[in-house]
Amino acid sequence: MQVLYGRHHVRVFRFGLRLVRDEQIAEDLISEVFLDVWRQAGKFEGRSAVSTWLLAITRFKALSALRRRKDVELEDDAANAIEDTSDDPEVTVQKKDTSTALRKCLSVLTAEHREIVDLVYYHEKSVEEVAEIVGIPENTVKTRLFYARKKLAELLKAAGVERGWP
Amino acid sequence: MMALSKKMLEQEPSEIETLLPWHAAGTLNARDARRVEEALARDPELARQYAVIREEYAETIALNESLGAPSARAMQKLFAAIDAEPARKADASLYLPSRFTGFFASLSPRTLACRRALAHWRCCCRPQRSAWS
Repeated sequence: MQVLYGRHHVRVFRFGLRLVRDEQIAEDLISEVFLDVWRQAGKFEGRSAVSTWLLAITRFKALSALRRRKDVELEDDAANAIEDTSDDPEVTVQKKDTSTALRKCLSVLTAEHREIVDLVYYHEKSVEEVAEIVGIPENTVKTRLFYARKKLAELLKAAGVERGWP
Repeated sequence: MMALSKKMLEQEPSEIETLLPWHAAGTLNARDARRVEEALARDPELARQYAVIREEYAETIALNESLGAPSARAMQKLFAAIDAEPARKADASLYLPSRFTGFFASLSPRTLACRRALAHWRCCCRPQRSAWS
């Protein structure tokens, strides 16, 4: 368990934190995830990578935590906030810094879009693995990421950053 | 009606377009990677979109890396919970399926070194955890 924890806990923490956006809850999540693994090691069938299994458990627990907090409704408000502040001096400064603006926009995507972006780019999961973690068909995985990227482009455009796509 | 359907179809991404993020992350199989490479070579618009994706890819990694790591509290909580598990379960865990023990056996020396460090850390923290319980 120590080996497994040492190898995966940071990525599990970051995946959970990006979903729940609360460090305390994300730390509680990793304890719960690895305790589940400890209890259910016998159920691991080895058909997928251990990291895929861990991320699927983390996602399930993060969504449960979010439902408990009833914060999901706030997602759209957060996304709208960046559009509403496009003329704010702070945002004007960010226009000069695409990198900063991009990271800010990545942070205000909906949980559904954040998780797919993170799973593909940061956790380097294949189409098949994302489908397994999120529990959706492979074609939906592909189109969901496409529309997450389109939303990201809209947010960036609202913040004054044009990147030539779409 | 037909014009609307056509417009909707035009807005739908092509299959190659949807595969670009996985190509950037290097997680496509050889066949799809070759298809994407060929499409990128002949379609400048697709290549522009790919450049945007490479930027998103780099920034997503940077954003996640900036999140840091959990505190030792999470590990203390986990191992306290494991220690509190019924002995029956702890014993059963010694007989993990071979596929799982195979995973442990496949770990790199670097990970094993990490294990030693964690074991040492846990050893040092044991009296503290006992004091809490």
